[in-house]
Amino acid sequence: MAERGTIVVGLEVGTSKVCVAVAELLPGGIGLLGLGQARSRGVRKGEITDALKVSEDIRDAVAEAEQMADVEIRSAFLGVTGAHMRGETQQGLHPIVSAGREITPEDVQDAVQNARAKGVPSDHVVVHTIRQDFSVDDHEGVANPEGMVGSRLMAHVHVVHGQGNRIETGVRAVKSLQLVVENVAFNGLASALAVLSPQQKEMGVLVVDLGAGVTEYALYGDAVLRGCGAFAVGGDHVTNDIAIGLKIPLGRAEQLKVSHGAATRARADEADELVSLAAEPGLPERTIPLAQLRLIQSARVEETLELVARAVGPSLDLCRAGVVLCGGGARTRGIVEVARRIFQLPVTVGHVQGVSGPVDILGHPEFATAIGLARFGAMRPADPRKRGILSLLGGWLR
Amino acid sequence: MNGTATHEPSGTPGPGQVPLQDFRVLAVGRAGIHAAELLCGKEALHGMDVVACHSDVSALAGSAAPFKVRLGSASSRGLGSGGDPTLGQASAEASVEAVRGMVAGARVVFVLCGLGAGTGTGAGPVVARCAREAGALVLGVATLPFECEGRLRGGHARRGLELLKSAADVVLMVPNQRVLEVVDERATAPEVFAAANGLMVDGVRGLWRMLMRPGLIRLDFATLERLLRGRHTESVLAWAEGSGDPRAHVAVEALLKHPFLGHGRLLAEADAVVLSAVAGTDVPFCDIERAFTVVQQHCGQAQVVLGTSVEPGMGGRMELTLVASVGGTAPLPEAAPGSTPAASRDDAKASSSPVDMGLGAELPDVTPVPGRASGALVPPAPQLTVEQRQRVIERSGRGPGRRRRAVQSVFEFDFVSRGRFEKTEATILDGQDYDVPTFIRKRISLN
Repeated sequence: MAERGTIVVGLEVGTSKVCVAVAELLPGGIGLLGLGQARSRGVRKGEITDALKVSEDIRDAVAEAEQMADVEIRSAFLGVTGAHMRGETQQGLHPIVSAGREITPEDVQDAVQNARAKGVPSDHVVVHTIRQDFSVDDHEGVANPEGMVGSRLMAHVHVVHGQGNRIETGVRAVKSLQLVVENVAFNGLASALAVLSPQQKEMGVLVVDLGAGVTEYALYGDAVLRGCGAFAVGGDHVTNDIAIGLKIPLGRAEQLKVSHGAATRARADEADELVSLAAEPGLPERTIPLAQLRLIQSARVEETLELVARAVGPSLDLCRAGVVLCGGGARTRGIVEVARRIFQLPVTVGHVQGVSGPVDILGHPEFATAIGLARFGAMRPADPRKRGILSLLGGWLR
Repeated sequence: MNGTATHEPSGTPGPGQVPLQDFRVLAVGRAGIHAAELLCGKEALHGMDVVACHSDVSALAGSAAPFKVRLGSASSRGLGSGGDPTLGQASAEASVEAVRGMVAGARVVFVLCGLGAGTGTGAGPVVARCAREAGALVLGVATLPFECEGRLRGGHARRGLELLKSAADVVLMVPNQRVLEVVDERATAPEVFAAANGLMVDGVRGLWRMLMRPGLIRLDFATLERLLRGRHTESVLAWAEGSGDPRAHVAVEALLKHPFLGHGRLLAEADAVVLSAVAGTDVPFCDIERAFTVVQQHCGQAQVVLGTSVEPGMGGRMELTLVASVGGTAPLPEAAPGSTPAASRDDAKASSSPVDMGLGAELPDVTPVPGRASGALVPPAPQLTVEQRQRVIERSGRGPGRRRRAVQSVFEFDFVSRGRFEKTEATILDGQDYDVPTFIRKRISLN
């Protein structure tokens, strides 16, 4: 851990907003100093489509965060996401050939390296290599095999990788502002880092980050990461569905979603309720049946959560601490109820853990990723010698 | 010389010989012959006979194919069809006996042709018909012209495709326009055409391997026939390979990004998918299994048939060949909801096109326009006897009520504006396009 007083900055370039979290290292945790955000205009489905606009938006968010925290931001930990991000559990075998058959740290490294090299397409780069556990001969579930005696070491490793060029695009956009990217992290894991307590990880928990462009998930069981991934489906799809279904422009659909939307269908007493949209220049006054709006939205939200449930599969049984929702989508009315029905587990909306700072910010699920990125930075201080993209990738995260 | 086959000895087969293999490739027209060149010569596949058919004697002479058929009667003097499908068709009808000789006894016949010009468009369907009459499973492989080739060729191609579809069991389409997506911006014309031919021939070769190699999970004639016979579908053929360690990954990614599959969209819409993996002896089975699993996840409701075989010469390489067919015997929607403005514009063009190919005469409810067809430069349609005409109609498998218009409308090769998701990759998961509103996909009524 770096010395006290060091500033760490998490930067999330999301589909709906760019968010910068500035934190200070404190003994035993981090303290949030400031938060800046800007509406994101150059990102779709978590991936950059307009690098110029993205740079502008990052600049605005960084300026706001600098002002609030009263610090100068020179470097940041960048979050990456998108449908190209994948998490896979891999096994790496390493035979122990040393004389005493005692497992050395180098053997462990080799086993992990062997696992890491597997199954990653040539155009992808590894973002995280996270150790799960090891098997020494037939002895499974070894947390740390160093010093044990055996002939065959098998590492179980969760490898998170993504397409190199797309990650590089994000890094370039930040660099164009003369900011140093200290490291990159997968947004789904950063959110988990922010909202989970060690007890929850120990018991087993699923974190679902419902973003505007991307829905990410991360599943912990027995204190290690068991799976993670991302789908390019999110709040934008809800808005788009509403716009198509009710035949209104996207801007109005977004407003309507925030003001009257819910993840559940309309209750019996709301069934005949009408929502009126005031006339605006160029747009006529409209009344819309609430039931239709809810029907459209609930279908999409249910489907998105079902997608996560299917991806996680039977590992859901590991989640004795239930499901934690974060991201802007976690603020949807009735989402907890729907998620509980789909996952058949207790569901809560995430609150940032182990970070001190303004309560109103920590309680907002949509800031979890940026704060988690700052926390990721606090756990893994930057090495000033390593500044190239290749050396950035391949971080450890536990 | 009327309708005679010229079995010019080039290579092993001597004069007068006929092809004997179960598997035959009939390359019709210039485009077909060019593509088939890749199947002849050094890279020739054992057990596959290549027959070049053309109305142009000089083009035929340049071909390396071991068997050749000159289409056309003496009156055509061995010249080409000059881009006129009517002439192409007439020349093929005149040489029908020679073509029959070439397809007799075959089990699978590929008809390679380029649609849009004369011989391929006109003669391709006739050749396909002959092959079907001979009892073979007929797979037409047709290139569609580039959009810049103009409306005349586009119109020809569309009608040719309809005819080929009704004559062949399956038509595998190679839309040239799509090829542009995979070639370099600076690619020269020969490179682009080579790429198109390469994509076409890779697929044919892959299919051939799938059928000819002893399979571990066998995919044979019977399976293919059961899925494809008589369905007259439009299909696409995609081929990809992978080598090195993440070979399954590489091959699957390449396959899913294949230009003909429309970014995976077609897989999601397909109703029958045939997927075969041919792997070298060094390829672990888990790679094949992984590839199958991933591709199947992308096939929506399709009936998926899988096959695996091992080819000793391939070492650590792995090839995937995929045939996805859409639509099948289901009637074409009058105006598919997905039909784009561009498509309807094309329809308008087709109907107002001043050139009628004369081929419409065979189609019972497409009103023939004799006045136009017998214009100064356009010779009249071939005079078919009543029986011949009846036979063509029967072959086409469509009664007068079934058929509506000769329009290609099932495949969506242009994109409609995707609003908020413009400039992004479509989110295709489990064979569904998640960018389409859920309530539409799940058919939830809003009222």
